[in-house]
Amino acid sequence: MIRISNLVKYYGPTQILRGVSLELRSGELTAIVGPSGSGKSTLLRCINGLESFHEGEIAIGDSLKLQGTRGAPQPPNLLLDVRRTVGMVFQQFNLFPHYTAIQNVMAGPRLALGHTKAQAEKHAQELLNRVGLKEFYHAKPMNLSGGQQQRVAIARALAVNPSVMLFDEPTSSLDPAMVAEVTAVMRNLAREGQTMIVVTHDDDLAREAHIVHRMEAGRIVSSGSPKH
Amino acid sequence: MAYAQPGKPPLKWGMDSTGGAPYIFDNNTKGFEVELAGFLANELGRTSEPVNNKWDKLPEELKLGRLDIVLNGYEYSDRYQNIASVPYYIYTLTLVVHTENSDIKTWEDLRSRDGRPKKKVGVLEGSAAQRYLEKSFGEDIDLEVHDDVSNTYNLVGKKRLDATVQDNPAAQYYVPNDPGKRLKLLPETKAEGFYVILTREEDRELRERIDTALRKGLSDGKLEKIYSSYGLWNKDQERLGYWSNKTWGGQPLEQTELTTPPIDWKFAIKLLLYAAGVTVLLAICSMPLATLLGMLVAILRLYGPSVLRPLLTAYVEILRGTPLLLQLYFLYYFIPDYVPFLKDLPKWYFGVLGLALNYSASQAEHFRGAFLNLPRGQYEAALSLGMTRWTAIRHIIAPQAFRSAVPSVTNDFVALFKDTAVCSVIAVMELTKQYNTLFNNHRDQMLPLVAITACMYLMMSYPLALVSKRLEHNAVGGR
Repeated sequence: MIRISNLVKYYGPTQILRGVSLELRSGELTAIVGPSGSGKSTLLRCINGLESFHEGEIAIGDSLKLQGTRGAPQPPNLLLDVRRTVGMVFQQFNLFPHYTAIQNVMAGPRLALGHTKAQAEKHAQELLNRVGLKEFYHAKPMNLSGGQQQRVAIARALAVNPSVMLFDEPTSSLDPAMVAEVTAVMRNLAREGQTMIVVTHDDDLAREAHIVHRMEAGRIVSSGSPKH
Repeated sequence: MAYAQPGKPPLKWGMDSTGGAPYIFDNNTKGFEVELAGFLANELGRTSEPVNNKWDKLPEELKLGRLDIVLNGYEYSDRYQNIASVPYYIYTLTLVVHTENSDIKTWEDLRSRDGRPKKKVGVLEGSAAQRYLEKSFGEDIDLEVHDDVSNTYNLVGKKRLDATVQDNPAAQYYVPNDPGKRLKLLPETKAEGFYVILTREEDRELRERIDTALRKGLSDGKLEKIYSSYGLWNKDQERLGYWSNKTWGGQPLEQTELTTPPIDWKFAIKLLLYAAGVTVLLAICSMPLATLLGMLVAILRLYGPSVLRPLLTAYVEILRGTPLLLQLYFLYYFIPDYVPFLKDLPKWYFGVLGLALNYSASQAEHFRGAFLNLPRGQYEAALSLGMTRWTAIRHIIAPQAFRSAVPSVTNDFVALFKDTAVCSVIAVMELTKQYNTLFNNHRDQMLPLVAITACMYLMMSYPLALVSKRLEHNAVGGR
């Protein structure tokens, strides 16, 4: 599904990724773990083009290919295609505060895919039901708990029907009491066969993965099944 | 001959150096009044010290004790009965038009005729010319009241004014010296009057000594010599001797045209209300323009093509870093030379444009700050959903930035409202200018005039402050 080969990335003079190669299979939950600063979030952000990289290549599916640009931005049209194939959930949720929950979920289909309002609304309702927020369609983000906000963010990312979902430390900003409601949603997604990559510090979450990659100092240092 | 005596304070004489030649020029070293002041100071055994101020405010400066005398083309009128010296010059009002103007051959040609647009006539604020035209022509002309003599001549030279009425010394000196030779003087003159020196009423002794000195200068030919060297001695001046030897002060003069009647409050308030309407018009038109322009500049500066960025940065810094007053001068006096169709636009358009441009810079900075303060995650989240840059900015970033900019943006509205007063420098008859005009004609009524004007401003700015507070509240609470 995604093949990453020899990814190299610098921030100024600092080398963040030192030749990362990975293969991610369709329908699997992949976890990437490792200490802070090891480059795992950067790797994730390279996959959906929020960061450009210097060398190497990321192939998504059969037709999309991001190439190392030596720091220059990626071609905009390619980025649009990549982002409509790869969804992203952020540590800080990043919900749009001026939209209600359902408007957040409708934002991608309406503003990126050009779906009609009725079409987008119906889909958004299904997604919010799926993440257990049937009662909160019209709540503004500021009136939702952290766990609820992250679930809206997952629904928002799913709304553009991405083939792959990226999760960047999805539970790190949450109170321990709210972690469970978010991981439950993610576990369900994995069970339904959604291809997912999760960057996490949470061992429980990593244990759910089909494969765990461990990163240190910009390199993958070990790959294998999670320890049970 | 008397000499400056050590220990005697210098004679501080009030003047406005923007009046220029032939009165006072070359950094206050030349001009017939400079030499006259030197002559008087010498006669009094003092040195001469020019003190610069706005011409129409000189009598107030005198009253407040910041000057000893006012000596700057002040025309005698009955209001100066008790404080004026004997005359030192007999002036006439002259009419100056463009050399190519064949419409205006006599003063009567200034009057508007059936359906034709009114003639625009420029005068110096607070001058006898202003009072004469208000009285004799009233609504028949479109009177423009300016602060600056040379700007007024220039506007006639550029055909943006049909005519200007000036005292003859100014006109006789300026017209032949006009660089483009664009101006001509009409032979017919009006409303002869006296230039006098003003003193404080209680300074009786100083007044008498000045009168004595002037009489002496007239009889021994000193004044004739000074005036002749500026081309200002003429037949009219031969009568100065007669007038200066009359018992001056408290005595009615033949010249009645320039006396001011007591203030008519009903009319004055009507004028002020109309001017308040102009103030509102200026503010209402310029505010949305400033905001829209500011938004556009902010967005282009942040997200537009990179070639534009230095230009927009310069735009913001120049407009923020220079005074509104200077910008208005530039727009009104300079730009129309190069953009001819602007010449015929009403003055208040320039006021609106100046205010809008000036405030667009600070509005742009408010918006830019609001954009920059948004968490980067908002933009990334929008992009990660597959939105294009512009879609993300338009639907996700801009609405949030605009909302958080509301408090600073609306604060500017009240400031802009008060800055409409600056438009008086390009002779837009808004509230402050109207106040000043009324004050010039009725100096004894300063307090009630100030109070009424201030109340009118407050009655307009206070509701505006409430509205902006309301907007601010909605924006902050409505998240």
